[in-house]
Amino acid sequence: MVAQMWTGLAQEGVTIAIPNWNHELLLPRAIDSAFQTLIRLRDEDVPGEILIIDEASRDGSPLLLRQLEALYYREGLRVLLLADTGTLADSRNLALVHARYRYIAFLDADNELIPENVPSFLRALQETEAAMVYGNLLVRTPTSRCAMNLLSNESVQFKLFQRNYIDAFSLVDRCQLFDLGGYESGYRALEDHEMWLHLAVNGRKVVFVPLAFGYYYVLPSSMATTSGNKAMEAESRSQRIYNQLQARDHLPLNTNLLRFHPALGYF
Amino acid sequence: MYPVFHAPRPRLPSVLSVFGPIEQYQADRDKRSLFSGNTGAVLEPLDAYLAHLLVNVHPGEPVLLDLTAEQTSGASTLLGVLHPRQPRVFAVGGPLPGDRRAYRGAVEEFLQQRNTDLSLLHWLSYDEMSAALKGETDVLVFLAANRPAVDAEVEQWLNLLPSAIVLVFGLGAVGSCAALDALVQRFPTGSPRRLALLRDSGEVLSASRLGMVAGRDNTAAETARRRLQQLFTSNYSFLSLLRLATEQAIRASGSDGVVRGSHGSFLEWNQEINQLKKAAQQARADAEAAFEELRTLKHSLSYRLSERFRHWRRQLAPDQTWRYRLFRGLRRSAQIVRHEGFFCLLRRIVRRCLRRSV
Repeated sequence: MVAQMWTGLAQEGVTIAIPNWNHELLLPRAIDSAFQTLIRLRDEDVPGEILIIDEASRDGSPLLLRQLEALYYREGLRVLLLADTGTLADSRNLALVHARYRYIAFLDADNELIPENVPSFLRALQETEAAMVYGNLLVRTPTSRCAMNLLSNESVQFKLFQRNYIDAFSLVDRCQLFDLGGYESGYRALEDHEMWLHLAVNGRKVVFVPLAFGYYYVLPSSMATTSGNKAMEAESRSQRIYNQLQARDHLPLNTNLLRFHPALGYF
Repeated sequence: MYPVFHAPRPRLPSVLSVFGPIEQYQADRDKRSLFSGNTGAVLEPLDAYLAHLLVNVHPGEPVLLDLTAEQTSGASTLLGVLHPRQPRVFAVGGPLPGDRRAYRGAVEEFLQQRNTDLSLLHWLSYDEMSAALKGETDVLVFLAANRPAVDAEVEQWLNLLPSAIVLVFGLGAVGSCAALDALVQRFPTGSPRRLALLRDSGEVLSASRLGMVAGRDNTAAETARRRLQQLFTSNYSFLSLLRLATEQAIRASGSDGVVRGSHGSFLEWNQEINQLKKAAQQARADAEAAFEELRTLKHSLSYRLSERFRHWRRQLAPDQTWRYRLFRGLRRSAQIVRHEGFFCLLRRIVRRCLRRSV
């Protein structure tokens, strides 16, 4: 497995990783957008795959995924069916291990990528040598066709140490995440926030690209809305780890205010 | 490396988990230019997965007889040895070590890297197989469709091991696969053996090239096949999903409106709709005109004055007070004087006073 991991690290291309936990009804939309993205990437000679990690779903997702894998394995759809439920951080670490390609787009099973823009994000990641690039997420309700808000729409600033405003829905360089030990599996919420802070304090670049990366759907009883206590716990833990002395504002930060567009460069 | 990446977690089988190691084996082999077997022609990822699941759902303790090892350069052997049920695997040894095409060493080396128990793997020559398997009941035989006279070979193994299940890998489409034609001819409907193509078990298995032959009275085979089918049958039919998707696309194109507006059969219907639309439009125009009139009235001096007076009256004589009662009496008196004259007012006052005194 380790050998496979290191071979994959060297292969240029994009793995779209979709952690899933009981999202049978929303998975087809996410997978469809991922397939459209693969087509876009292949048009630009970038190989890709879709890796779905199912965290022991009980709602029929495993059967759906079994069917889809039987139909689309050759087209690059791969499925890891786990027999127990772990944290989202565990899923993301599994994606880091099992991905075939160097770059990973993390897509939640209830969200949707905007395929036309992913090649630009990839170019931005390659040209800036960042650990992660992200862009605007258009926030929608479950079936609306228009966005009513924006997420992940600001560059990294010191206020990131206070609260998270960047979603995990982004494109990352697997090598760099590997080198820093991956996601902290002890976090039961806001593991993405912890990861951005981890990258930032280790001098890595986290770059904002002013393009829409995908659609972020707000759902009733979603994990983000029901994990209040866990989120507070995680936030205070991150505070303790990364900014106990409240001194970050007075220290240099390589990734501060980094914004990049492939057609413009840094701006 | 970091321990976080090594924590093992229990998994259910998927094409990736079954075929992933085989892909890795093939990649290693290609990298080292050991030999080049056309594995893909025989062992498809989906078929490898189905064979894996078949071992899973087999009610007994299956023993694998891999006669496709040579065609897959050992990949099919890995499929058996890496199975978590740890079946005993008898595989054709193939060319002797030293030969460029020898795969035994590569398979063993690959398994050793994964700390797999090699004692379950037995390399034999083709002729030694029948003797080694004598007396075994739960045997799964792997055969490749591109072997010469594969139908006769299937029958030979089923004669030798009547309770065995023979899996034939790499069967092509009807009409363009000689092996399939021969198998259908040898095991027709009503024969004591049944040929089943797993692609017939469900629409999602349409890409499968795996055939299964077993005795018609072999309940283990039939149960396993049915369980496999159930593993791929859900509430959804892909045809209905396709229909939904295409209907949605057509709806989005707005072609319904074009047809309704132009086709003759909607003429009467359209006329009625147009009349209703006109009526609705007229009603809307009337309502707007009335609203406009009301707005003009509200802006007139008299309306504003009356509003102002009403406001003052409410301020000076709030409801339910003696001032209000006085105001009401004065207003009524003024109305009587205006309409009936001052004497009439006096007459009324006198009459009321008299009524009270009585």
